Amino acid sequence: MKISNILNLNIKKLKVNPKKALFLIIPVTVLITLSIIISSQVQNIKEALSSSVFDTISNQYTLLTVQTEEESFDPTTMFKGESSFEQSKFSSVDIANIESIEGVKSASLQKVIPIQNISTSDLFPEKTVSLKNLSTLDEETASLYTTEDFTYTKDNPIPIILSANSFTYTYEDWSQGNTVIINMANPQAEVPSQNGQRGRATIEKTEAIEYTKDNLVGRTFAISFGGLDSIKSYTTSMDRVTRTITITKLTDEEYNAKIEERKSAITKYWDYDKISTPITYTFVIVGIDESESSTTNYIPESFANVLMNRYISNEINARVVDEIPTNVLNSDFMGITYNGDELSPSGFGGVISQIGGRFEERMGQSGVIPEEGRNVSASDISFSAITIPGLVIDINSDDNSVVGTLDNPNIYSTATKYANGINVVLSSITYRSQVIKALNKAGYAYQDLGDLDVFENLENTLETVSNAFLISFIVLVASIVILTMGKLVSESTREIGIFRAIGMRKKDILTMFISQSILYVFIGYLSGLILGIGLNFLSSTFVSSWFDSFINETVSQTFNVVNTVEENIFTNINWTSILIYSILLFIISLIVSIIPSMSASKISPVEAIKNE
Amino acid sequence: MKNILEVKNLTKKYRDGDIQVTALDNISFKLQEGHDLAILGPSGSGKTTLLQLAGGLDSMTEGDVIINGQSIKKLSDQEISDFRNKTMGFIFQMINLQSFLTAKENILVPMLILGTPKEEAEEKAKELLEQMNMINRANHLPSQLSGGEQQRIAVARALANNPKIIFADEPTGKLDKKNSELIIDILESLSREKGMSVVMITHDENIAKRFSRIIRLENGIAKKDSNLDNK
Ligand SMILES: Nc1ncnc2c1ncn2[C@@H]1O[C@H](COP(=O)(O)OP(=O)(O)O)[C@@H](O)[C@H]1O
Ligand SMILES: [Mg+2]
Repeated sequence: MKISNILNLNIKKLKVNPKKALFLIIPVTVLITLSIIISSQVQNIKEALSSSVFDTISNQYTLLTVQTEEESFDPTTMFKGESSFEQSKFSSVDIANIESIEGVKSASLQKVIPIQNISTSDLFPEKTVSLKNLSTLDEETASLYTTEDFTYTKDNPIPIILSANSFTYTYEDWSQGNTVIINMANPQAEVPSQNGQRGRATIEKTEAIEYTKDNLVGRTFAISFGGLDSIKSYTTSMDRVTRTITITKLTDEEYNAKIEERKSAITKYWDYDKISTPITYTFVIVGIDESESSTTNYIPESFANVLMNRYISNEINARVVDEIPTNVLNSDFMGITYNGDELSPSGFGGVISQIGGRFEERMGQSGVIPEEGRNVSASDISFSAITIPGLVIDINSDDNSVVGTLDNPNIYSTATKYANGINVVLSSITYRSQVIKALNKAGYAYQDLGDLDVFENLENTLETVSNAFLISFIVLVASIVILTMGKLVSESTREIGIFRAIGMRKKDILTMFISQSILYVFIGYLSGLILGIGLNFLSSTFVSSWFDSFINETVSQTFNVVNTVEENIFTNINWTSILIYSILLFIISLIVSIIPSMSASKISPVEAIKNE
Repeated sequence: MKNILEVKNLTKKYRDGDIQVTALDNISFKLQEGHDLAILGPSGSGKTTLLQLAGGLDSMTEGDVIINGQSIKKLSDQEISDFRNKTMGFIFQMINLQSFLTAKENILVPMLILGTPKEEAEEKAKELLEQMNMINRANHLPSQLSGGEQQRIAVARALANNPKIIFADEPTGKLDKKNSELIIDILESLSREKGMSVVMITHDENIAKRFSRIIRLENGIAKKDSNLDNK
């Protein structure tokens, strides 16, 4: 019998008795509708994730920042015989090392701007934030933090990427009176520790400032560079015998005396007003780096040269003498040092390195604590040397002895720059954990704080949902077809018997029932297609608002750069998946319907005659 | 003259659990082309079983059936199906139309199975509907027709491919007298007017008498094969 005639019979059967067909048509409609919505929305969510979060996150997470151990002057280390002044730094050797790691696209030094006092009072009301770590960043790496332009244009606000860890301010806490005694045997007992931070032997406290990223990005604000160090309003003295540190607040007279003392020391060589006035520039925030491990703020490379030129020129112009004697440089003032090759930030020149040396002498090779009774006052050290902003001290690279001042405002652009961090850009985010392992193996301590779990979890969930649905889809299609067609065949024994009695072959009956199931599946498929596309469209608003709340509640608190997603991304339809589901539907239906159809073809024509 | 049907030592045993029922026991008879025959017997005597075996609808236990010179014992499904479609026509006691097809479509199906061109088939269906006086009910579903009308459509369907032999299994069993007469008239006239062989199964002596020959069945055994003179 011709297939067209068999199909015709099936269509007539469906028209006269559509109810039975609905048992197959409706489940298929539901499954196809669900498959369209689920596969499309899973894809849409993934796409929304990658465009809103992964785009920036994966960009960001292809960047690792390896930092040297930060060591600030901490009096407690003096008792332990550690050198407080030696700071590790990175060089091109490290770059070569890191670039040889597989998965590393490029590595670049974070060149520290050798300016000591960098601060702004513009960002937060009544709070001055100091930017302790200011480095340069090339445009390519900057694009990992911001979509904004990161080039310096004269007379325009200079783009800057701020580290959220810079948003802190420091104050003195004298709540315990004018004198604080800290027992070094158990320092934490005396100084209240904050947020689990180690209690320090100081009355200075640092607090994080709350901020809203959206309010900051795009803000224009001024940063001041240089100026004199603030004079501490207290003295610190240590007693080795009792192992205590005593912090005593200065009286107003004592404090003013110290300022005057410094002023008169400076005035011998510099115009006090000129040297003590910071230089300012206007910046625009183009990005906030919110990664936990980073403390570095970034400015464009080309601006660093301009800034340093002005910073050094300012010092040269402020001088009231032609030449500052070497012994004075050695004992009274600190500045940037230049050893003929490298520029180092202030604090490592003349007097400090000598004091450091003297300490080493006293402590001996074994690092034994100095003899009893010979106490050292840290405040004495800081007072004997004044940091002069913009002062470049030329030192002999062999013995670190002071040669004189270096009066070249352009020295920054040609010197090797001091680097305390390395930006490592990965070829792809997939290399991340591998590279981190290799970095640690090579001795560059890197703690992975990047919390990609949220996304990996969501991606895994989405993956699981689509896989689970795919499996359920296959199982359900197979069982629904086999069950409904089985039922249909068993209800059609008389019909089959009649067809057989009037000459239909077994083969025709087989074709008839297979095509019948395909016909019903096809109708269910078509209605599912229409319904699915329609409902997918309707569900887009729902999915979109769910996604927004997911982003707001989970993601934007952890991650900094989150692009907004257009709602219509959720109306997209995953045609590829639909094609796969369609093919699966028809192949499974075809294969599975063979089973009940075979049993249909075996029904004897005698069934047509049986009295019921 | 050529035999259209030869039944040779036909035996059918049903196995119903442990019990074995011999529905037909060593039946033999012949029917010539263009002749008719009534099989008469009480209920349960094996009439339907005989029709099923002779019509190749069921398998035999022993013996042979030769239709139009061809033993149907070893035919493939395709061959026996084609045989049923082309050479035989069946009319059953239970009215057996396809419920989802109209009167005309029911008549068309055997022709579609045979592969008759559509127009020719339509023409033939119309002809048969007219013959059955059913032309104005052509597009009605069986559920919209009376029992007599349905059975007339069933007769038309059995005649659609001009079969050589018609098997009718108590076709009037569920009909009223008037409709029964009509159906019997049609079947009785087939051999006379169209040269078709007819095997009429009935338990009704009066109906059987209208056919040339009667085979009496009792408990699966042929008791008497009589040629009636009045026919
Ligand atoms: N499929 C079957 N299974 C078992 N026994 C059957 C079957 N069909 C018929 N029989 C038995 O065979 C005998 C003949 O039945 P049947 O041919 O239907 O008689 P009739 O048509 O003359 O009433 C009966 O005893 C009946 O019970
Ligand atoms: Mg019977």
